[in-house]
Amino acid sequence: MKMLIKPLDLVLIAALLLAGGGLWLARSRAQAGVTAVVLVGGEEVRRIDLTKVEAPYEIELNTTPAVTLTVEPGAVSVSKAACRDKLCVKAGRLTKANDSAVCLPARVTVRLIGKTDPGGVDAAVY
Amino acid sequence: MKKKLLFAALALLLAAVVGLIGYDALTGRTQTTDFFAMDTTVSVRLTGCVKPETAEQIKAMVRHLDTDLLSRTSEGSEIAAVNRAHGGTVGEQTAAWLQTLKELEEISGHAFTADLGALTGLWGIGTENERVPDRDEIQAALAHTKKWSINGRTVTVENGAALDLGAVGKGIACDEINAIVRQTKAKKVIAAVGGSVLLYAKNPKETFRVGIRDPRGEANDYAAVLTVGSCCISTSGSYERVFTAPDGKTYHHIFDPSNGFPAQSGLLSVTVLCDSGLLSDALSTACFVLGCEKSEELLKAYDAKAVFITEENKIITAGDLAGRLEITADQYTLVEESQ
Repeated sequence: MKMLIKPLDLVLIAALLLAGGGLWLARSRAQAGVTAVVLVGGEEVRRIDLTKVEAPYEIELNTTPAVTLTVEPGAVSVSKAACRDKLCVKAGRLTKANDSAVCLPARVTVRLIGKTDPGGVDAAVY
Repeated sequence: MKKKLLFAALALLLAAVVGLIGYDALTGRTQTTDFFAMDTTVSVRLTGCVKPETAEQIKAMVRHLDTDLLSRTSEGSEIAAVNRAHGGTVGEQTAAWLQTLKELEEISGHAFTADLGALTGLWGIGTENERVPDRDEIQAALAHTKKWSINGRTVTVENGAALDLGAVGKGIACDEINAIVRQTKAKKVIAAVGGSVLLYAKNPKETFRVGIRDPRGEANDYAAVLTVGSCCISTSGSYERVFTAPDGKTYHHIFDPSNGFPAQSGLLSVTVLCDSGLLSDALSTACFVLGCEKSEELLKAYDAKAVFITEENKIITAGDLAGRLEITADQYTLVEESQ
């Protein structure tokens, strides 16, 4: 009797299903956790996966006025800024998706991206 | 035969899975663009099959609005030219915005006033020249306000007054972004021009969670979270751009056009939602000046909804927001307005 499905077909089907499942898993995994995006003048200069940070460290941004970021496991903050109002420093530690800190004089934006958790927000008004 | 069917079914299933993943990867993709314009940060998130050029188009459009049309400080703008010459002809777009504002001024009893430029310049809050002017100076600055007019595309502004669209420029930008994205295949758009936000979802059932800044908290703290569909939403608050005078008193930047001082209406902030960004911006400013009770009629006239946060830590809603507001900071209590 002629076999309709050859063993090789089964292998192919299994491989394709696995690949599909893997892709799906990778997509959902990629959305978990938060990533900090640092922009200067609207251009992205750094992208830091905050789930992979093990020890706190600082980043000096070469802007005028100067801005220093502190990166910690799961959080980022503007720790020092030479601007007048220090609104960016007052923004505190950013920990949730869509949290942001902006230094207008230095044109620095720090924004957390990632999947919005159930208690999180899509946008903020102020 | 059975095996053939099984094989076909399996192949179909596989095609469907691969197709769905592909479709989702294509249409579920979100592009984020950040840039600076209008003295603030603009962030646009576009979800769906949207060309990268759309983001560039939005960026160019917002910069054009700022530099060529609305900015008081950009020499080449239409508003700056009108202020210099105490009048003149503006383009169709600017004329339409000014007409909308003139009408709102009248309906709000001048709680919103577009020609407060001389007064805001006098106080200079947020600039290096911030100070508390004396009463004579304030009276002199007020003497020429509420007197601008528009007829067709012809604008007149009194000598000694200046148009200042700083309170509504961000909302206008939201409206123009809205016009651009509606012509694309965007499924979902979240655009924040400073604190003015445009929310758009192709699916009318889709909702967004919007955090209303806690006036007593830090920049990323929310007093409440609103669940809303497509709309424009803006907040005016006394915590933004404040100036502490040498005498220790704190002054904010939303002026009461009736006396020339920062408005004191018992509010910490007002958030307004409606279909237009220009209106949500202008209404939030007017409502902040009017206070909670006097705002009711104005909001009804524009079919807008609002959330007031009072100095007594009450959160009061206006318009139908039943069940759509969740208080997230303990110190506030919710008072649903009886409608």
